[in-house]
Amino acid sequence: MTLFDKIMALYPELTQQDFMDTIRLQNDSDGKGDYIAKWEHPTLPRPTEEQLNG
Amino acid sequence: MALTQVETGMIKDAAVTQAKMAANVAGNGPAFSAYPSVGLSLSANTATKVVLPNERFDTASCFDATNSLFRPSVAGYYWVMGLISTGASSWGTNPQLIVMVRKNGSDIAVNQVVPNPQWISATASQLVYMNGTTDYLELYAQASSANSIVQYGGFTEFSAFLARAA
Repeated sequence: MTLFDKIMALYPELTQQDFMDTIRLQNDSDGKGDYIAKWEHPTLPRPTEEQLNG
Repeated sequence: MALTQVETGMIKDAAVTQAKMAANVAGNGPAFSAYPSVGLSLSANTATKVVLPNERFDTASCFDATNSLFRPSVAGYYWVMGLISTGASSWGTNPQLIVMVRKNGSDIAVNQVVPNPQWISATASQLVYMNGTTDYLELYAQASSANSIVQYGGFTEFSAFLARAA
């Protein structure tokens, strides 16, 4: 399951537009995988590692 | 004795005008073109750095092929272009491909296109100032599909050249 899938499972109300405006998922192709580069959603809090990996 | 040679140091800077240049004289600042060697899978809605290990040319050895970034050694204004071509079996409910050129980690040129039906190419270009020491450029791609692949073999390219010295 990708990071995007995990976030959508936590917050199914998010839309694709959110991932262009207030949330940025990123992968620097350095072997470290996907990560949250920016989380500025006005109402939903940034998910914790426990939530993402739970 | 007739004067046959003039050292360039004797010429005032202001006297070296464009009109004095021959038609075959052009700037020789840094320029590069790089491309991927394999397809790059993208996670859905995740900005992913495009890996560019191959160089068509790199005139001043300013492109770091290991880290896929361009860090020019001459300060000035650079024209940069990123071309991304992707394919996917499906693009999701709101299909899109985004190509991003980034300077020092921040977007400076972005283009968003709608794939139709499975393949799409997009470019993002910009004239950008580079300080000649620490500034660097990278190419990123983001797609709506969970199964999109950045294409190689000439379909994806990253290039830049010095348009005007600082």
